[in-house]
Amino acid sequence: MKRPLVILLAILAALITTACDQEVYSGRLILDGAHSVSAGERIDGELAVVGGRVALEEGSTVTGSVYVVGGTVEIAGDIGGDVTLLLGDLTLEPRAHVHGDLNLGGGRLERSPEATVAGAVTAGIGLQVPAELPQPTPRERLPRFLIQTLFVALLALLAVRFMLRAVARVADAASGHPVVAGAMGLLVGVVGLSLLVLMAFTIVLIPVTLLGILSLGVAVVYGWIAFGVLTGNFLSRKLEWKLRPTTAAFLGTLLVMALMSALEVIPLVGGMIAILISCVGLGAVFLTGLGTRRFVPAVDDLEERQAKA
Amino acid sequence: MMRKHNWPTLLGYGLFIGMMAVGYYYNVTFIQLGLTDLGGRVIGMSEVRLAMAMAVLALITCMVALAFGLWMRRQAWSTSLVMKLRLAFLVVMLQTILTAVAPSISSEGLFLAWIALASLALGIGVPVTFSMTVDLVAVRHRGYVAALITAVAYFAAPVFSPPWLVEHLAMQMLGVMAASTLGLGVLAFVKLPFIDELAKQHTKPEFGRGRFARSGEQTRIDRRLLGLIVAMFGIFFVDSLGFLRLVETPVYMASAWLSPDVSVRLFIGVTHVVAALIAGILYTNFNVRHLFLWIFGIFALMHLMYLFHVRSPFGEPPLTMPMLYAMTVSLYTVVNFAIWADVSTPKTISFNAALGVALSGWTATFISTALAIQWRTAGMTLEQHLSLVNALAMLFFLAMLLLVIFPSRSRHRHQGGARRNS
Repeated sequence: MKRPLVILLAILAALITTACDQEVYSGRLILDGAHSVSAGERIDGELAVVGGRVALEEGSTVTGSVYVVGGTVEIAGDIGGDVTLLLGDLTLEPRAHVHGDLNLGGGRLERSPEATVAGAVTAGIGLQVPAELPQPTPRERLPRFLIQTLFVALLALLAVRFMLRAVARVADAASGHPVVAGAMGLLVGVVGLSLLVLMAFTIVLIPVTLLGILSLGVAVVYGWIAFGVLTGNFLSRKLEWKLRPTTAAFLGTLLVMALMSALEVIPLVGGMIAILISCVGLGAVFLTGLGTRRFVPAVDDLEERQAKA
Repeated sequence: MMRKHNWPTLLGYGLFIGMMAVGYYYNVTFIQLGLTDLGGRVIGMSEVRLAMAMAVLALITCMVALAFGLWMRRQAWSTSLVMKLRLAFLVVMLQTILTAVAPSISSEGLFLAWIALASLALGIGVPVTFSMTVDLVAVRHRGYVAALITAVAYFAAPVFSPPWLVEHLAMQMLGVMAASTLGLGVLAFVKLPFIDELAKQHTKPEFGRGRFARSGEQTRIDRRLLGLIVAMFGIFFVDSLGFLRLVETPVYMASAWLSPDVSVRLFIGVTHVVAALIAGILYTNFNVRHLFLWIFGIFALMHLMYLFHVRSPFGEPPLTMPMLYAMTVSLYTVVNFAIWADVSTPKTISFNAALGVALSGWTATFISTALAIQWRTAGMTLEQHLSLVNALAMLFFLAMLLLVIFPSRSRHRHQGGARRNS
């Protein structure tokens, strides 16, 4: 058995044991609605508030830490751990007692002078998120588009320079089996994103989530590069330009990226086409195992063998 | 096929898709939901007795299917399309009569007798209908045909299903079933040229022998068939055990399958359709072990999501949970419709399909129902119940992961999917 695989399986098995035990992640996650914890009531573990309104009344207890990522939290009881405010509104009532630190990253704090914090009060950079993000003007979007396009095109150039066969296999899968690749890409996208969102809610797995998002992003860009290679080759063939593979990949990827940006202009349909292209690319990356093997449909393979036999 | 204007074959595809989709819709609505309503609301049976009756239905169906599948193989009925159509006609006729009388049943004794007769029809129906695959659907298209069957049945179930009351469900089914009986009667007893054409198709190489069937006419159960039965058993068991508890939790049903908002049910229906099409494409073009890996993986993820929600029971459950559920159900249903014919030859299909569907589907339902009753009487909470189901899904996922990473030598010889270093 290959050593990295053994390690991977061992980690996976360890993760399963933690996921299945209810004692490990004890705590509450509030997404919406109004909730109150009355005097004498206790929440074992952490309390994370993403939305809604939570009132921890006088005499109530949270044994772990409280994380305020959104919504409104009013604390008048005992908090065993830290209180962290990232976004939303936090009120520390006169009877509030925080045994740990009070970490302020953003949001709005209203603290009564009588409220006690046993640990330190730390303040980070305020995270101010406006209610509605302003839409960039075409002039503002142009530099971003140019940088992004050039960056991906340069990646395509490097990919073709150093891993030509792998990129070619991904491109072959995307062009030869777009429906299969699209189906696989859609499945990977939907299930992968659901998994990443779930992991983000555990809080402890946020670093893994970020790593997962990065990996998914890299796979999508890899798919775009494969389309860029296909486009570059197509152009050099049709226009009878004698281009080197790296140059063809660079130019092709520039075109693909420009097309993807142009699609954004078409409402609804444009976005869907862009998603579809990304799904086919992502699926091709997965079908070929990041370009390490050629994809052969199972039925074709079977018929080929039967014909040989 | 379209280019060749091969109309008999196309009609065969239409016949198979229609027959299987209606049969499956009948199973997931009238049998699973209608009978529960009949036993509980109309007759007044206790939950435990009702669950036991349903388990009995599963057990008898399983035994009848196995016995009849074997009988069909011995009588060589597996290779006779006309005989299979005649048997299907009898089965649908019996089911139509049973559906018509179901709402008027008022005692537990009659209910149990009804269940015994329904089990007989279902048990015979399994090998008869599944074995028509070798006559009607080419090996290359089995994944796509299975996808269409699943898409039709599972789109109709959440979107067009009437309230889960036996009277409404019976009323809806009766019209379709009466028409099906008439249609099957004509196909089975009137000499039609296209039926003669279809009856010969299983002798063609592109129809008869399944993708995973070994050479020769082996009638013994081989390792591959056994492995598939175990995997499918795991899928049915995990699904049934989890859903038996979720179906009793109003918050999860009212926000999804029983939502008063038609757009929510439409979303679930469309998810079923998209997932079925994905499954059809992947089944045809991909190694089936990878598909099993996806199914167990999504099951585990979905149960983990439900667990998260149970542990922090505030707010509406997000639609992602029923969406993933619908996806998984569609994925495995497609595999279930296609796989048994693909491990068989025309001679072995009836018994193999009976073995596969009965041992994996019906036995899993029987055992999971019994286990769910035992857990409930032992006072197990929803959280504990789902934790165990999730652990089971993870166990199957890990086992499948090992099989995918370390394939056996025979698999390398017999299966495609991808080629290294080419």
